[in-house]
Amino acid sequence: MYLIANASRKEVAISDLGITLRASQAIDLHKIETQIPPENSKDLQRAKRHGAIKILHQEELKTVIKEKGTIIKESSFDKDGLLQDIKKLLSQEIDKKISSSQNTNNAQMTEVLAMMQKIVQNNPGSVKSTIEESSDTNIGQGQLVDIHSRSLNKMSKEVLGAKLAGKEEVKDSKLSDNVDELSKLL
Amino acid sequence: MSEKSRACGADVGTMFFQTAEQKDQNDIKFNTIRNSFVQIEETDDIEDVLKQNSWQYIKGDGKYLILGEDSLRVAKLFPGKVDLRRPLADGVLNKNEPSKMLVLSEMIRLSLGDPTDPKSVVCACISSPPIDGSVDSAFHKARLTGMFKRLGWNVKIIEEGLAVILSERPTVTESDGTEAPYSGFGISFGAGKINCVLAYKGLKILGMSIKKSGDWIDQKVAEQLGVPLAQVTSKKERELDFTNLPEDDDILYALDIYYGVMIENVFNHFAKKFIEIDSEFDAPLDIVIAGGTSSPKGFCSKVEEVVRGLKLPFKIKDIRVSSDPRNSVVKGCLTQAIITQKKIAKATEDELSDILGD
Repeated sequence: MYLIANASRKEVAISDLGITLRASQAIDLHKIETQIPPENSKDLQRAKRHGAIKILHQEELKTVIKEKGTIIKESSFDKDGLLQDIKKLLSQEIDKKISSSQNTNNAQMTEVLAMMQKIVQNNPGSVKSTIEESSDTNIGQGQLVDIHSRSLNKMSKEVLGAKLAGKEEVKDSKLSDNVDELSKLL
Repeated sequence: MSEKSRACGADVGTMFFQTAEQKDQNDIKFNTIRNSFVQIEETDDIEDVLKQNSWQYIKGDGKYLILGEDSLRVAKLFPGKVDLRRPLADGVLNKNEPSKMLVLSEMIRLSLGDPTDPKSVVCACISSPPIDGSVDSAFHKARLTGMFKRLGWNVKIIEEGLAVILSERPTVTESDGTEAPYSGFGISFGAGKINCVLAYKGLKILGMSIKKSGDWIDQKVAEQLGVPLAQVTSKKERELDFTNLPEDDDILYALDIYYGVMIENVFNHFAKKFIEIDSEFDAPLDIVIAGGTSSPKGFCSKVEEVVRGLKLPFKIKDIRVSSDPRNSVVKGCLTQAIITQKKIAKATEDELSDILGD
């Protein structure tokens, strides 16, 4: 399991993994297909350094070769550790909101915080199911295309460049014959 | 009156980015751009220097990037100071290159331009599934599609080996004596990868790709002989002739050996795949070959020589190298683009995604 969460209030994209996380969304990187192993992602490390991404739970993978050459990834799942990490993140978030709010009654907020912590303690199952739901989310080809198009539009907004000319040549071909023949076949 | 819809072929290769568009009934206009770039430092007079030399460049995010053939010229002018960089490696977007997306998307925008209407189509090709554990093309396909789609193109993606088949028209003679066109093997020997497809009447039956191709040969020869990589590549492009190999030239001799290894490797792997699918092809098959790595003179004889020594699960009717190996793939993409455009012209909105294979 390699569980990360978007700790910012904006959408965060991790380009070299090809994923985008909504604000506060958590995802298990070992459960989705990524372009490169998440452990090697430089963009993830950068987002972590900037505080946009928090790593909630990371465990080392042990590859076991089973009968008939099937490779499975085995890991030990530390539920308690995960719960503690989530509680910590939740507490930090609420603390942040309390300190940033001028008009909020501190005593009231502390009470809310205590109540929320109690809920988390009493209902570990509900926390787990929420995480599993979001970690099972997979990105389809169409969504990926849209994400790339959007990021490219943003990236090339202020790019200047003239028409790019290469080595141009005009050649005679039997293209029309091929097109007619193939149009009937396909 | 609105302009006619455009149909274009695009081959985004490791070494070159090529486009093709039909000029009139019989002529095709090909455009070939070296798929590389260099980044140069910003100075007070940088724009003047770029304009005086007529170097093709883009400026964005505080960077000046020189693209295409000019990048090679600049890299040669400042050896050791400017690195020649490539947006692609091994047939997919280069994961170690941070500017790959910007460079490639701008290269596409500045060379292909915009579609003339919502029915214009571009067909690009990607590698078939790899059989050697190299990176597959799923993510690459999404990124490439995004680059064309954001400009307003309808995008059709096909496998590179199929593009060779659509361009070269191999045939199989059926048991009743009739000829099935666009049937047989299409093999594209690129710089980063070799792509193979077995097709029947223009439909892909089996496809695979292997990393050990042109760049791999150059690296191996350079390693074995302890000579610079650029020297090997240059010698390969200018002097390699399989019909006339001088025995006293170490580089050419080593190139011949590694070409043999590459050909043997691809046919052995394809034979295994052929057995796996339990193909019912029993008629002898045409093999058509294209791609820059197949350009040296006598390549076809080299393939025949290697294949003769192999035990293959299929019979070979004929082996031939395209008369225009460097343009064959992009011509196949153009063929598919025109067919797709004709279908789109008659299609309803609901049928679009089926035609484009989304």
